[in-house]
Amino acid sequence: MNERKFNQQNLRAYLLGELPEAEAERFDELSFTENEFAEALGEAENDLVDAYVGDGLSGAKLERFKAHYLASPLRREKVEFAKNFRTYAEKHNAPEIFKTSASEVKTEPGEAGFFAGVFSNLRLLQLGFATAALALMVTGGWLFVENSRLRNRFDESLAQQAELERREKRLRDEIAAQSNASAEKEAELARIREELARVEKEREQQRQITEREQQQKETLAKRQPIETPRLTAAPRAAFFALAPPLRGGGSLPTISVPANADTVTIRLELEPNDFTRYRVALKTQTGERILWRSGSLRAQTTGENKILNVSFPARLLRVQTYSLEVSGIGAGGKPEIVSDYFFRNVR
Amino acid sequence: MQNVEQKKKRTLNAEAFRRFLGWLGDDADADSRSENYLEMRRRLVAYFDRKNCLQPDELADETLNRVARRLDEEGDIESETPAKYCYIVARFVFLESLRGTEKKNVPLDEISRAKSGNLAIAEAKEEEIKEKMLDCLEHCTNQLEAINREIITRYYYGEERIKIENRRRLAEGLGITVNALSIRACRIRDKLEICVKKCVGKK
Repeated sequence: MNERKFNQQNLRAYLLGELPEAEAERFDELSFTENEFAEALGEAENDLVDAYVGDGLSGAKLERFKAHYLASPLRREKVEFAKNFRTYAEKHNAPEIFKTSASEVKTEPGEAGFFAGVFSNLRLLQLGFATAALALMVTGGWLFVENSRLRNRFDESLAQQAELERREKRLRDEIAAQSNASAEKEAELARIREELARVEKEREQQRQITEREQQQKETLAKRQPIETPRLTAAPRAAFFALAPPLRGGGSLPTISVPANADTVTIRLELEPNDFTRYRVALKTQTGERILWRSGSLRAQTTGENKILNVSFPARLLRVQTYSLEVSGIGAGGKPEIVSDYFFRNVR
Repeated sequence: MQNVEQKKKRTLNAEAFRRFLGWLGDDADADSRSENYLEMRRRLVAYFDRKNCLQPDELADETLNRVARRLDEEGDIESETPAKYCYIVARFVFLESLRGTEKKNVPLDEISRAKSGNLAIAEAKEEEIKEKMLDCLEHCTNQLEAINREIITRYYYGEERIKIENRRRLAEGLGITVNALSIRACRIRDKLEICVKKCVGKK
């Protein structure tokens, strides 16, 4: 279809029987012959029904919906489905879903401070260009995790705001229904509105802070990568990034985990594959011992690349070579080895 | 006239039906052919329903039967596309049904009398259906693939700008456009709706 012959407005008018006959017949035909139209019509119908169920229709549109759309038993069934689906979705508290990705990227309050120590040591050791490149990767990993943490905080406040908005709407409806609404409810509504305004303000502030921090970090990382995260909090987590292993060898990546780190988080850049869930095992170089296994992990997509963040206790690592074995989880839940990331801990 | 009626009532044999499926879409595998047939039937039912026909399912089947019979008799049908031909036949079936309905019109006051007498029963039944439907929704949602379950629950979450922002982020996370996401969500919802309908019917 070269040019679009319809829009949301006339699709809705068609569903409500408001189009002139000739136009309606043209749409009748398109509903058979054009898949794009059939799909758009299905979406428009769902939106219309959802608007009715969510009290989003009023005046003439509402009257028209009741008189025309609800005249058919099949369409009434559709409305019933939408009502129940709404109840179901509300029951299965959607804000929880926002939090799923947060559990996969663990961060510690003092994570940034670790870098001050690590990088000053690196400077002292004068490891040269190769180390600087590694540090750049680490900085990238740190920025990524930091960004995820701020993003999750943003998500939570978004979910909190949604919940408050729902409560506000419910109370507003109750008050409208009962003309003698109690002063207590009015007060609660006022409180919720205040809280809503506060959450909105906080979210805006958080957004601004995130943007500012992101800009600062990016600028610093470009200008002076080795000195970037010079923060003062006590170090607890160490962050590294590992690129996909090169075929035919290449130099072994090294990491340096400080003595006071509790957790090691490694960002693995995956080679292209079709899996969406993964498991990771930390093994000794020869593979004879498995030191740690992850649960099911979901990769994050950045552009065309997939990223997997794994965190394990720092105490598992000695000065030796390890591998992180990544397996994709297939449809039947059967794991399939995707790649091995070898690295050496030098401290 | 009798000849025409006999023709209408003649049932299709397996070979004729197979030929009809092949004509409807040139997909090689049987699953795709069946899917094409079901999709055409869904479109026909929706068409007759939008026309406020009382029995959209029966009219959809009548349309498909007529097309299949014509194909069986003539070996081929010349038309731009099978979908367009089905639409043309559906239009005829619709116009015929209008003439039939005019003869069977029931006075409105009779309908309202019948309705008011059953109001209490209908309300109790409605409550029962609602409970069944919620159970079925749970059951059918659990049968979806995990990713589709997540999409459908997240896609319809929130109101207005929360919903818009949520959809934008969901699309971003999946690496697809918002438009592609809405098509995908619509398909999952249709699937869910069909499953719930079947499930409620069984209970």
